[in-house]
Amino acid sequence: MRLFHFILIAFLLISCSDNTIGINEAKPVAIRGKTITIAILPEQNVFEQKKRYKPLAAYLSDALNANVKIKLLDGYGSIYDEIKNRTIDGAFFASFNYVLTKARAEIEPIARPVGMDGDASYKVVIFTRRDTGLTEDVRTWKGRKAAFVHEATMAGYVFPSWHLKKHGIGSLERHFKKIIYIGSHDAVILSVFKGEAEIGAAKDLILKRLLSENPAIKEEIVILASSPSVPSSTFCVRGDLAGGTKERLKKALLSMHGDDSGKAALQILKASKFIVTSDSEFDMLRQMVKDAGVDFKTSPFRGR
Amino acid sequence: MKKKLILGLGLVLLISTLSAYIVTKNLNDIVTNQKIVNEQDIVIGAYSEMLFQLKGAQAELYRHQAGYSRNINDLVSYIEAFDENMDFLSAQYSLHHHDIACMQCHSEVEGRITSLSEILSEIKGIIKQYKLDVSILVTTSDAGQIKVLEHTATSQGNTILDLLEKVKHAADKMRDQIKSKRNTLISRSRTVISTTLFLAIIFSLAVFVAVIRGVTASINSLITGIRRLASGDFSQRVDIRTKDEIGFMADAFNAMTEKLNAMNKEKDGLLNALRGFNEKLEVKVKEATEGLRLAQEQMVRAETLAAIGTLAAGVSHELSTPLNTILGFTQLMISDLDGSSPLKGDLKLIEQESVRCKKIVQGLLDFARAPRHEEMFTDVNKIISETLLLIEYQPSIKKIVIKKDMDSGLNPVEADPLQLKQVFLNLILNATQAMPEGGELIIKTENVRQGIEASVSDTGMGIREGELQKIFQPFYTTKKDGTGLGLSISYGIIKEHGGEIYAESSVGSGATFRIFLPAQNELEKESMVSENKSRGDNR
Repeated sequence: MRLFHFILIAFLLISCSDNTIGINEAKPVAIRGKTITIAILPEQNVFEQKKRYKPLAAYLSDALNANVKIKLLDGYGSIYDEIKNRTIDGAFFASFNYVLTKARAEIEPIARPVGMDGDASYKVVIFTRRDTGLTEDVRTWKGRKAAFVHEATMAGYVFPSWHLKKHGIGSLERHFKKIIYIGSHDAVILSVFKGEAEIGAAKDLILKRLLSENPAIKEEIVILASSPSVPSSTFCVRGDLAGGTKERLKKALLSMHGDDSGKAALQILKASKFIVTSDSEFDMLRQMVKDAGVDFKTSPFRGR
Repeated sequence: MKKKLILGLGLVLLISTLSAYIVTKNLNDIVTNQKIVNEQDIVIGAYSEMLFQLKGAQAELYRHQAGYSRNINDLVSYIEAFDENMDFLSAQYSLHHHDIACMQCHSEVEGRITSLSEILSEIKGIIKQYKLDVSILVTTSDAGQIKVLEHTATSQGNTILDLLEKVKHAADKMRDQIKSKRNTLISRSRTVISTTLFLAIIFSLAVFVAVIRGVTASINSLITGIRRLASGDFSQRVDIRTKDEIGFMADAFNAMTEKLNAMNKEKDGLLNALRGFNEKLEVKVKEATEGLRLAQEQMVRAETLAAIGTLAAGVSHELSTPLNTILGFTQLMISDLDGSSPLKGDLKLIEQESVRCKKIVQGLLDFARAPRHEEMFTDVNKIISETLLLIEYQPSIKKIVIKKDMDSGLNPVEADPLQLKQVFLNLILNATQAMPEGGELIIKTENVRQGIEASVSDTGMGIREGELQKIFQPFYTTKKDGTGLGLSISYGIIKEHGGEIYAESSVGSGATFRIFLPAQNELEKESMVSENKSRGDNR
């Protein structure tokens, strides 16, 4: 009889149970009015690059309670234009392009990522293949075929030009027989390794990585010159961005490594944290640019 | 009853559960089908988006080629979104491709899904290359490379668009087929659900009615039985053979009616006995009341007689002296007169009347005199015979036939023989006087309970009812020359002997006077007999 009562009650309870589990489980989606657009320049695989930046955007969106979007622009020229037009609020700048943009538009450095190996700055190294016979003496470089990343980069123009100038050679273009701009540091290293060029310049960090990954390259590549350290890719915001937003952005980036989602985003970006970056850290570079004879106001940005 | 109710409820629950199962299954089928339709809608939506996105990317590429745009973000975003949709679709088809349950129902779709998967794989391969080319395109500054890549990417994009159009068309067709199946399923399910619910209601009602009827029929039968029992029909039995509570109640009811019936019969017997007893009691009460009334009358009469007796004794005593004087002087005067004296006749008349008055006074004195109880064992038959000898020479008796019905074994009574003789003389003389033209005088004696009864009957004119009440009163007489004291004296004598005297008569059919005298009990009788014997012996 008890069993019968139990079955009856169970039957009634099951009949009356709430079946709207799915509806209750749905999380409300926050409607954020403000949008902060951060620009990045394309790397070799833009799609993978965007995927890497997505967690950062999500983290900042939560931290700032705003829609943080990543916008891919084809060059620093475009970044400059959009900063002037106020269609973007910030961007990641390579060191030389920061100096150029800073000279023409009001931007403010906030922070930059520290790599997994603790590097937040880089040097530019000029290297050759062991069999080229080139030495640290820049005169041996004369009439050789050179491969650089881009003419509007620290590695592709500023340091080689500054280094040559330092050793009494006025024109980069005339000193080398041919200069090819390949677009990426990896490609420069590989072109020198393969013999497509005799001399090249790239970021030391990338060279270090490639050398550790490919012992064969390590055997063949010889470093001829090295630049002073300059800050690596730096996150800057528009100078006229609201002070509160600027500060919150800075705070969110600097405290990112202390937050779970922030840590995950940093891992995907292959960074351990963000550190404070100030304009004065670019003074050395600014001087090199000046020494290299680059006109801050007219020199073209990297990219089309 | 509880079992019936539980069984009924169980059946209804079973039917409900079965119905719920069928309904749920159909709803689940509909929901599953709707899910498939929804998924298909989403898939088709994804195809549409992919078409839009790739067309957007292609447009961006064209703009790049033409030098109208430097916006690579849109180009990359289109391709990125396309890629996301691609991943979604691949996961979707992969999911369905391995869904055995799904395949069982949609076996013909399997081939299509396989072919779709192949096309998607092809698209995937092309898009991978497309993305690489676009990546290089947006990063390289080599104009020659840019031109080649723009051409290649555009061509790849167009190929993907063609393939997508095909896939989307196939997906559209598939969706139409699924929708058609869904509609069929909904229609079929609607029929099944309606039929199931209808049948469930009908079955439930049938079960409900059967249970209620099963329960109420028994209860009604029981109620009918109780009502009949209440109306007094103790022979009522309820025919319920179920083994439930009602069955137990019916058995108990039948047992109860059995007992009640037996008790009722016993009660009827007792009631009849009581009724008979009551009737007897009533008769006895009536008799007792009548006896009491008679006793009261007799007592009143006795009291009256006693008072009259006392009065009569005084009056008689006062009258006897002057009467004796009158009589004496009258007789002296007659003796002094010669035979021719005219007064002699008158004086004779005075003498006669004086003698008559003296008799009356003497009668009154006898009436008032205290009884002389010289009682002895007396044979009433003998007393009656002696009395008849006294009157047989009376002229009035000549015309009368005397019939004697005397019990030879008549018990003796303790009485004064002279007084009894006077009583019978009075009664016999009264009877003869009641038959001046002759008739029958019937004298009867017999033993009765606790005594003897003697009756003197005549066939004379009889006594009226009103006179019957008064005849034992002193001085009440219907005769011209009667004193009205005979019956009163007789009454007094019989009462003195502890007996009873009463008269029965109706006008024209004579009268009967009955005398009851108490008899001696046997022991006393025997002792008396032996005493007499010894006395005789002594003599």
